[in-house]
Amino acid sequence: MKKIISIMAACALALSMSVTAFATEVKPDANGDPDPDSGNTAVSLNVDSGYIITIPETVELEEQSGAKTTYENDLTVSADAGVRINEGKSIVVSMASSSYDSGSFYMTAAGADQYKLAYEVTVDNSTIANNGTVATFVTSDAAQTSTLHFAADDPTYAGSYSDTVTFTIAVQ
Amino acid sequence: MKKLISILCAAVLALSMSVTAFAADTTIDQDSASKDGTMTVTYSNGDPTYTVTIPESVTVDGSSVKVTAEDVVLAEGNELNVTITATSEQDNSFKVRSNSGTGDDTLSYSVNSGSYILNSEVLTVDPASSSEGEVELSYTLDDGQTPKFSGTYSGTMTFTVSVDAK
Repeated sequence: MKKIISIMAACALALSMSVTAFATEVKPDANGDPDPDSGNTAVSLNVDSGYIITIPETVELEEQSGAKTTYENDLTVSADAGVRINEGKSIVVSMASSSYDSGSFYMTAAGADQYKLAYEVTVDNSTIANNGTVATFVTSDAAQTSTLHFAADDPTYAGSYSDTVTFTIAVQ
Repeated sequence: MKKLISILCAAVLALSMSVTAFAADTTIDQDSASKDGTMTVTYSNGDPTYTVTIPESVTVDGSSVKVTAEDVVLAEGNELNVTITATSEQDNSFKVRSNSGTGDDTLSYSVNSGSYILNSEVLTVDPASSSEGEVELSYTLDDGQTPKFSGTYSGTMTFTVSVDAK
């Protein structure tokens, strides 16, 4: 059993070591011809990724007058020009809040006891769920944006309602 | 007796040297019309020798690598050549290709030796003038080649060694 463990440990060590290829040495064969007659050189270039994503600090919903009073506003998530990531990959921005429950986000007022003001987030008229994707950016020379629309109905009570949402950025 | 020993020593010495006479023996006696005999003296230095080293890898960021040839001994009139004969691209162009995604993005590069841009010929060693040679190659992206994506771009370059008549 110890021997098996030793062998496995040796194999693991061998696999963990980086494999090094050596330069090709060409020498003459018995006939004086080059052996091998050619060798390959691996040519490579490593390019670092780069991007700047901007998430606004706050968005304040403003009263919208109409047949029905609502509070709404837009928030823009942006990527500066010059996003460069691996080919086939995207920068995915998702949004989450601990207030999310039963299909809605909620704001609460300081000192409020039970009342919570539901609000909805949409991107291109699609409703965003908790941990939903709100923006997808790709490699591009041009700036890219995604507009999030926040909307809440007219609250029952007066007060300053707020919630904190967390944006997560991932390359996938 | 001394003469015999001297002759034997000379014979042993002669046999120990790599000298081969190919002509038929000539026997001369008092009746021979010609009193001259000819002997062909040859010396064989064995097979050709050389060691060419082709680098394992290079990065296209201005880094340089060396192709070297050492201990080059060839038949008279021959020279040793190292040439670029192929790349990983179908048209053998000097390009590295994105390793991620579709792999469609490519970047052109040049192989430079000093102020010269190399296309095929890399190194020639003429043993009549030198038994060794080396060339330092630097790899740089061509002007206007900007990587679209991050990650690794790669390719291979094949160097071929040949012994050719000058």
